[in-house]
Amino acid sequence: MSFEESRTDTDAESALFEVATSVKQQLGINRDQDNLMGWMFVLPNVVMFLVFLLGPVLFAFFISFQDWNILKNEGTWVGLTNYIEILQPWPWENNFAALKDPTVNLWWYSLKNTAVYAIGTVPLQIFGGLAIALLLDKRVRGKKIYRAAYFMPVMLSGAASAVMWRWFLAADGVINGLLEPIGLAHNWAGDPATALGGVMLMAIWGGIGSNMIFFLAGLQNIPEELYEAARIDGASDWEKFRHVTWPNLGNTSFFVIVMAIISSFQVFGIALAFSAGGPYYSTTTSVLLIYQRAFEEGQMGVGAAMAFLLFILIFAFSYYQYRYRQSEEVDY
Amino acid sequence: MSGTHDTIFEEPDTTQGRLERLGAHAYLIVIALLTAGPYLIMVSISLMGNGWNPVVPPKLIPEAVSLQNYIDVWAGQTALLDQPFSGFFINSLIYAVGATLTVLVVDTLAGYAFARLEFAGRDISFLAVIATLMISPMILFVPLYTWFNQFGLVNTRIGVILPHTFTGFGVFLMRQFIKTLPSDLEDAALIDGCSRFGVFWRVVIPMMKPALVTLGIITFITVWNSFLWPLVLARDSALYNLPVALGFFQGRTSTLWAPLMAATAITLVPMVILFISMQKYYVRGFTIGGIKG
Repeated sequence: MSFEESRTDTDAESALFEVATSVKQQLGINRDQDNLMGWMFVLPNVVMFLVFLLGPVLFAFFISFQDWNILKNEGTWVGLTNYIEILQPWPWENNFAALKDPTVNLWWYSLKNTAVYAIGTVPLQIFGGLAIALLLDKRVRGKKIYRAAYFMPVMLSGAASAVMWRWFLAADGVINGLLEPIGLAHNWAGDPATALGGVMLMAIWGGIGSNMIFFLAGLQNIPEELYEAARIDGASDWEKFRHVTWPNLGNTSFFVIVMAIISSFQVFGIALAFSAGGPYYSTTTSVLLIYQRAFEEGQMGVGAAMAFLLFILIFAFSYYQYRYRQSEEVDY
Repeated sequence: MSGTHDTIFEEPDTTQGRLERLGAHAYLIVIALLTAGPYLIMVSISLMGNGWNPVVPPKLIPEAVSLQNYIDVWAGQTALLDQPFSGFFINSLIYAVGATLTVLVVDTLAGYAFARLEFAGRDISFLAVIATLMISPMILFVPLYTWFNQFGLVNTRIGVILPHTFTGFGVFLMRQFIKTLPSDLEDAALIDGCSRFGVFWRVVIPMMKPALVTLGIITFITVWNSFLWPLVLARDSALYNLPVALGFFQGRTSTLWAPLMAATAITLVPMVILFISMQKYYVRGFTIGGIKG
């Protein structure tokens, strides 16, 4: 160690040092030191990973088989009871009644709400973000102002924007004030048929900005020469997009799509703050249901089992997308 | 921003070119009104000292601008909020600053090791960290709550901060960024007898400004806006952060919109300042460190 710490000012010394270093590498001494240093550098991160991630996941799995008493911090083993209680009756047993009526089985009903939400929001969030990024990628005056304006909704928390939109969409709110003269006023948040639509509107509005940032970053990494070549070949704007921009955005789009789907499955805050799951369970999403079971009703075991079921679903989706992308890549 | 792929905006100065440019700007302005417009309305309502009344057509411009709503909300003098909003603001600040500083230190250290050091078990532990991106935070909250309950961390500030200090995304971002830095300087410093930590501190950290700013902003925004964990953990309303306070007080009323808009505007101000002052680094940090197209 003392050898390494001494300064090597002359050429001879540094040559000697290089020889010594290569000898040390041959002997594997540097390796050992890197082992220690490496683990010292990552230790805080690894500890947090174990305590705040791996540990809780394993413990959640354990709790999901328990009738857990939150006050005593102990539970009794109940096997698969929690899971059976959540999943039954299976949707196909009663002709998918659970998808229409929340009183049949709230878990399946909440999954339906979540699916409707995901299908309605994800494509618009992604294509909206891409369209704006494509426009802002050009040499345009006032780009910084536009970019900040589009990013505004991302900065406000879901709960805060829910408060704002609740007011816009209230029975006596601004939107109704504008719609009343043409006879379209409606209690948007209070009607089970339109409340989820209100949550989705808010999510689309809030999700476009962050996707825009990801796409902007991706667009900047496309080499200018590719566009130059396309221009020389006389490609139209659409052809440039189809054959240069889109294929080169592959990794970005994949990342954005996966993240959008994952976060749409986890929608919670806006649904709680907008309408607290109601009216008549119309905005009860899966995570909102988990929250209500675990933290409002104290049924930690049921909540953990639901969380695990949702995790499996999200994981399966992400894995499927990953595989699909790999099979697609072969075609290039 | 370099590397723009211009088409419309580089049209020659002909009538057609000018028209196309005008059309593109019109489109951009319409979207800007849709995204930022609600905020302008929110701020406008919050400045109505006498409150907002539903009339047709809706009146959105205050007759007289007044900061009374802000003063009342900040001090907790409205029927809507019986507690001073300043307390929630300070809580949010403590949570966000505490978590951000921890994340920056921990993730930069780990990112450096994953990018530059060779050690046994490096690849497998990096993979484990990346895999966490897929895990829904909801699954963690039930067990974390029961543990924190056991260790007396429920209803404490440190308890609110702790789970925010692990982020797989941050480690990934830092590692990717360090990988793009040339390693010649570090090698030279090592040969000159600088210790590993010395290299990290004196050579690597000064080059990491964009990445540190990007991760810092992302973490700050995430924690500032975090809702579920503070809602679960803060049993006592004195520990609420801004989003929880907003969501909580919203349930109590449906009419006091003007003070509620002032409260919402207060939660947004630090985010806007942060983003506008740092937006140059923010986009660059993503470009270099992140997800290459």
